[in-house]
Amino acid sequence: MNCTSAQDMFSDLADDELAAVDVVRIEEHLATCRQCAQEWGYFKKSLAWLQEVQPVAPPADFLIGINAKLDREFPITTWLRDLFGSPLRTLSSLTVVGLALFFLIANDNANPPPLGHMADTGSFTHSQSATNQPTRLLSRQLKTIPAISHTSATWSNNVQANPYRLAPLPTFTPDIAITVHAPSAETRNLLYQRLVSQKHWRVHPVRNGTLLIYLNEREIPHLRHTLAPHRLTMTPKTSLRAQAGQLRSVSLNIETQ
Amino acid sequence: MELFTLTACLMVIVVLLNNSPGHMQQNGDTFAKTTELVLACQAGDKQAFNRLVLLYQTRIYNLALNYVKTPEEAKDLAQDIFVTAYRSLPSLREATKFSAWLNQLTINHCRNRYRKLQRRGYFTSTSTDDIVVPALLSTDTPEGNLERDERISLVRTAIAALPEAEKEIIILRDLQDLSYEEISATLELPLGTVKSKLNRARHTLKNKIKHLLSTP
Ligand SMILES: [Zn+2]
Repeated sequence: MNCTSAQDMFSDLADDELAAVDVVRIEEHLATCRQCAQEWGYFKKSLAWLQEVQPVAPPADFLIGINAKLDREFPITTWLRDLFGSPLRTLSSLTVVGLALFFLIANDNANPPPLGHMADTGSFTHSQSATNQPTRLLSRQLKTIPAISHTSATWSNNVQANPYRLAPLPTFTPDIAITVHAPSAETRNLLYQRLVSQKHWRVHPVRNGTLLIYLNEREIPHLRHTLAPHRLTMTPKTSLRAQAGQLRSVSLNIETQ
Repeated sequence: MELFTLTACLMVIVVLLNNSPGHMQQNGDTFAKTTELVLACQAGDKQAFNRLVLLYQTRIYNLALNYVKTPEEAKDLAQDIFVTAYRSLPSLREATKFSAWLNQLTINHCRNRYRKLQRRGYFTSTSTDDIVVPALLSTDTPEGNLERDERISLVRTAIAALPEAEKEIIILRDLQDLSYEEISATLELPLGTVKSKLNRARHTLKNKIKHLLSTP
């Protein structure tokens, strides 16, 4: 074996891809050829250094940025139509979303006191600063707002704009829309990643600082669990009851830590 | 609730496995999960697509990092790859082939972006041979950490300085841990060509950093 053919085999030798007979031949050459032996040493060392190069985590706003790009390409009206099926339903649903956002903005301006700290204890616990008002407000509100027909909020796959028509989409009938406002981008990105990793609900970033979550009431404990690490305030919006029409709506505010 | 906790734990495990150093080969769980998510996504579930992104974002982002100069540009490039994937997913016939399909889509996208930038004179150096890999700065640090970080950064510089074809094959094999077969499918090259190109690329890289390798 000459030096060229020996060095041509370095890669296969390092990856254990050589036949036994070739391994013997190359080892014989390396034992007698000083230059190839030195090159083999460098070769192995460079591969070891390559192994040290670890993947870098993508930035926290990576996923949410993809959704922003998708929304530019498949605009918000598209997913709303995907979501609610017909222009009429879209219109009424948009009203709900609009109202939710209106109250959210009102809430931003009013700067309400913290209402409670969501803890993973199965109920909402009082925060130290808030007194009696706070706590079970969310759970109470979710329970006491009268159930409204949710036939019109069925997730279906019957719209031309949806490029995916290969199989019917499993029906998903949300009965609660929750807007979560997280002013800190870092918190919002983290929260979005956590929310989107689960299939119990649908989550959409709707504008800077706000995530819109649709879900079924039975998933509230799951959501509570997911939100547990965050300090939350909730906007009480009893007036929404009358107008809501289809979806009950609740607004949560995540305090900057 | 127990079921939910269990699901959450599994999710964390999957994410951890996916983020583990450079390992691209999928375990059975990730494979099954991917297939399920691809089918859900093809059925119109956008949230399933988001979960697919979470599974693959580290791989795609790190591939993109090798084709542009800054993390910001790599983010933009990798995001565009996922947007293209979302758009093209209905044309993927076999959900089980998603991983290979995404690899190929990524490489094509990266090459196009790289060439476009090159035409615009984005990469100032005309020949990659001009890029000099500097020597290690500190030879002995107490923890040895700095030395290691320096080494990694120099290796990255050396990879960036490789000719495009050699760079690709090193990235796929040595950074992303693809098998020869996977590389062959991704780059559409015969297996024998993959092996000989890889050997050449590894020699080129070794020669670029030889002055560092010769230090004890
Ligand atoms: Zn020799």
